[in-house]
Amino acid sequence: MIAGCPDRLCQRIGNSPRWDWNRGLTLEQPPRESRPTGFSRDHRLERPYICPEMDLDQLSVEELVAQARALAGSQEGDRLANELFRRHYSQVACWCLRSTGDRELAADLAQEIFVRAHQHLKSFQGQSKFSTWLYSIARNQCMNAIKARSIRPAETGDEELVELPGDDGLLAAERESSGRLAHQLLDEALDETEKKVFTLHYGDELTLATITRLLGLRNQSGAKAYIVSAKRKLNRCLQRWKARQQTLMEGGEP
Amino acid sequence: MTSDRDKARQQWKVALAATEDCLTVEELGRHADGSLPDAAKGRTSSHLAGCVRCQTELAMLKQFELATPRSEELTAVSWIAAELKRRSDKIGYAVPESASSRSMPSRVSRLRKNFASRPLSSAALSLAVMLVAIAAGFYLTTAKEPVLVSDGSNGQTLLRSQGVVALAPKGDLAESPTELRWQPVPGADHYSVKLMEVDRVELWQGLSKEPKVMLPPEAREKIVPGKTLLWQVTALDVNGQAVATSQVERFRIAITPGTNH
Repeated sequence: MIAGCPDRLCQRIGNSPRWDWNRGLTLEQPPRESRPTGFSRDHRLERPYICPEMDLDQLSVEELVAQARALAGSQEGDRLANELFRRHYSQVACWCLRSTGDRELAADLAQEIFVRAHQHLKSFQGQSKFSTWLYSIARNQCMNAIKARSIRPAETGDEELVELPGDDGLLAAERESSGRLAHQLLDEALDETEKKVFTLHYGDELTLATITRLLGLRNQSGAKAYIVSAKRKLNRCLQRWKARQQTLMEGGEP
Repeated sequence: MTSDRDKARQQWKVALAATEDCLTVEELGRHADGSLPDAAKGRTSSHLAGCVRCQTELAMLKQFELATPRSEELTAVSWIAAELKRRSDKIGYAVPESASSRSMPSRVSRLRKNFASRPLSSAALSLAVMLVAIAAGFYLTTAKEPVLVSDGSNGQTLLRSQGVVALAPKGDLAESPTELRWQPVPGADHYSVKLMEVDRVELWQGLSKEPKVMLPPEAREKIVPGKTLLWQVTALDVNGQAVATSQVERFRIAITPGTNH
């Protein structure tokens, strides 16, 4: 340890830095078998192993996260964070491109996502995979951008969107009951893809083109076909539900 | 009919919103990779089975995790990745606080702090100075700032029948702009202008009777080198009704070796 070194990590780990004209300031490495892995199996952060000369390609994502967090605020921390983010460029670029359909805007958005990831890296507690945490940032950024630039998507097809019965009241219980019925109808009437397209279109107000790209739909008309069939199926399902309710009210068997 | 449609849309939007019982992104991620503790598995699975919102979120997360560019996306994704690398090499990801209004220390203040608290040997300092000089020389002789397309149209000409023609600022700039200018619109009583981040979050909004507006200090402090910002102007009549609007313009102060953050 360098005498008087202010680096708490250096003191904590107790390695011995030395100056080497070929390699710069280095820390002696502990034996390979004693190196912590960065994360335990339940994703909890462990004490990082610090070595400024380390070849970053050798580090796993978990090790990079642990070390970038530990060295946050230093140039080495930035170098580790840059490597960590570089490994996710393609993933985030892909997501932003699908969200926006515009590569210039996607690049700006992706940059914002990594800026926010860098700002909040300290708050990542390892409760999930790093890519999951990055997704939560990417999702929020992209949704905000999409909502800010697009008007409400136009109605699709001839079929009307069904109104949910029992949603006229202002009571929370009525709204909750209506929400349960909505999920029940979707589950009963729609296939898996229709459910997702419907939720993104009417729940998140995403345009059909965006949904087509995000879900990778390969059919000719993309999300539009799923919305048209979903509305038709929901109409029929609601009619059946109303008939069952009518029968129950009249005291008959459903 | 329109109000019925709006009512139905609103009903579904509320019904499909996430509830308190919905799973967090972390829980969905751990469900997907099978790392949830046994105690949480039952609740997670039963909620997922009946919640279309969480099923959709899980599907989106999986799309993100598995994101491999499709053949038609390859060129654009490669371009974006290269652009990200270029930008991070130049400015990194630590932007000044004024640029993002989040509590992140700027690279400048961080460097200052590091230099204040870490005693460096004179040999290390000399080496650092030498490396900076070499890097600056290399940068000046080789680096060329890519041109920022001001309207986000990939260089294609856009024609609009009733629009405000924005004059400046556009594209890459050498200095921070002090005002926004556009061509006057016949019949316009006044203009509404807004400055936005790239995700269209509004940073500042102003009104002007003239076809220009001075940027106040609170708007100017949002403009930092390397950060792309957007602006748009809308012409309004005496009743405050929009009569024409401009396309969204982009601008950015080009990064020069002296302005790195």
